[in-house]
Amino acid sequence: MIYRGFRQVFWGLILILIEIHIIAFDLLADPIGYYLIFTGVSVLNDHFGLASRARFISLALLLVSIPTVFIENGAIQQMGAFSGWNIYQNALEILNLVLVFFLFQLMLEVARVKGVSELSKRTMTTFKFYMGTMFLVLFSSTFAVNMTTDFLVPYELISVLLSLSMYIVFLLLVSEYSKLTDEYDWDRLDEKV
Amino acid sequence: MSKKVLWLGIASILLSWVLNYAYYQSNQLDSPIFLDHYYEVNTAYDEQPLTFYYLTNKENPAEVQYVTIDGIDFEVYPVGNHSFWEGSEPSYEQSFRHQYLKSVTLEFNENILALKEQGNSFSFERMEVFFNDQSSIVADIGKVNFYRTEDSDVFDSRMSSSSNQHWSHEAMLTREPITIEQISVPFDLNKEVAIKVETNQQRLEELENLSHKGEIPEWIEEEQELKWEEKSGALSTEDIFPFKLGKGEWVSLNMYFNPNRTSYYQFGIKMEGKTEKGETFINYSPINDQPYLNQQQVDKIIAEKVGEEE
Repeated sequence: MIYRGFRQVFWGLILILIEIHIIAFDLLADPIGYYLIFTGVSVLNDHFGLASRARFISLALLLVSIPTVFIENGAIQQMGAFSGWNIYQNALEILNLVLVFFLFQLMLEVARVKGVSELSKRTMTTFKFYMGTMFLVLFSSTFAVNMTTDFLVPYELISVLLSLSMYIVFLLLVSEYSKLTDEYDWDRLDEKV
Repeated sequence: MSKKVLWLGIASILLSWVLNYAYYQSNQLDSPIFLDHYYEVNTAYDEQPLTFYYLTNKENPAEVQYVTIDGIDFEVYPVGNHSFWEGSEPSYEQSFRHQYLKSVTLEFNENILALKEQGNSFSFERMEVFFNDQSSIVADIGKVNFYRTEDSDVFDSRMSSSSNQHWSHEAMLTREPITIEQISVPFDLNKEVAIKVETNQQRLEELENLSHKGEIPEWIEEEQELKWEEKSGALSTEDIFPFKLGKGEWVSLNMYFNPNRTSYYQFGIKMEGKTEKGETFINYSPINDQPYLNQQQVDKIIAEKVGEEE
């Protein structure tokens, strides 16, 4: 169950990433990714009963992200800084941050129940680092409209690289969780005793 | 990490977004702003196009379609403006926080300038500019003078150079004995343009090598590195006039423009005098100098020009 749940979350996240970075690839639409996360989280929810928030947010994102199927990311940037689409895209990014926040909480809970303290520690560290970095990226991006061009280009490069690497770190962590087994881990318990 | 921290973070992002939006909006121009230009054109020789510079919002950069000028019956259309493609990157001279510095080049030819009816000279300080978004403004553009005069032939211009460091140099050789009575800067720009006049024949004679051997005297290059105060010659504002020059003698002008100004120059430094026969002459040393603007200067220009309109 854990494997299935986290595998689906993992592939959901991959689909969302690819949509963001390969502009023309609208076939791998965000809603499908969020649907996978939704079903994955639902599976975990049945098992642990703690994933209702992540479920709710992924369902919300599934619906909210439907328009992205019909519009390319690049086209939004050309529509000017304060078009409705730009506001929409910012809202989507914030919702995404909220989703990741609850996924982290779900993972911490799973790690606690399974009693894997190493993974729990790693998750906590990644959690703080991820949220801190993404907060800085999103917060600084609100200043982009008032930046000079000299500043904007390197800024955008750095922020894209930062968020991409954070996303990959998060993906690796999720894939780590999908390796957990549903059975009680006797070996690990023995090791610690 | 608690949910409180998450909501606080999101709230601060939203707040920052709203504040940035407000700041962005407050920095948008209602209409494009033209900078100051000081241009003089001798219609006897040049039909050169004149380039005018303006600031326009990056959000909706305005392209000039045509301009009208009091006293000119025709609409003046830009030349070399080929940005027909919708959605293509706008062309601009410089890019600032919220504005582009764009340019429009207008060609005035003698047919358009009915100089004969205007008594051989014509000038304007404003033009009505029509943009591609159907808007129009009456813009103060500094001052443009058209005049018509035959250039004197008392000098041979032997060397002229200019740099983007806001100076210009010209060295000339007289064809006949003359008396130079005045050197002046047009448009009352005496505070912005400084001129040093040099008549040290021994030094300047080395310039002959330039035409014979193609060698530039060492001191020319050295001098280009010098600060204005150290450059040789006497300031044109000093009491040096009138002075006489024999036939085949050198005179050299070092012209220096205020590097911090924000206006565009294209005119001639005027040298007036008499020949031995008592005939008056006027000689123009052409200069062409553009500022390289920074953000503070742009902010200042906008504050001043928007203030004037209100």
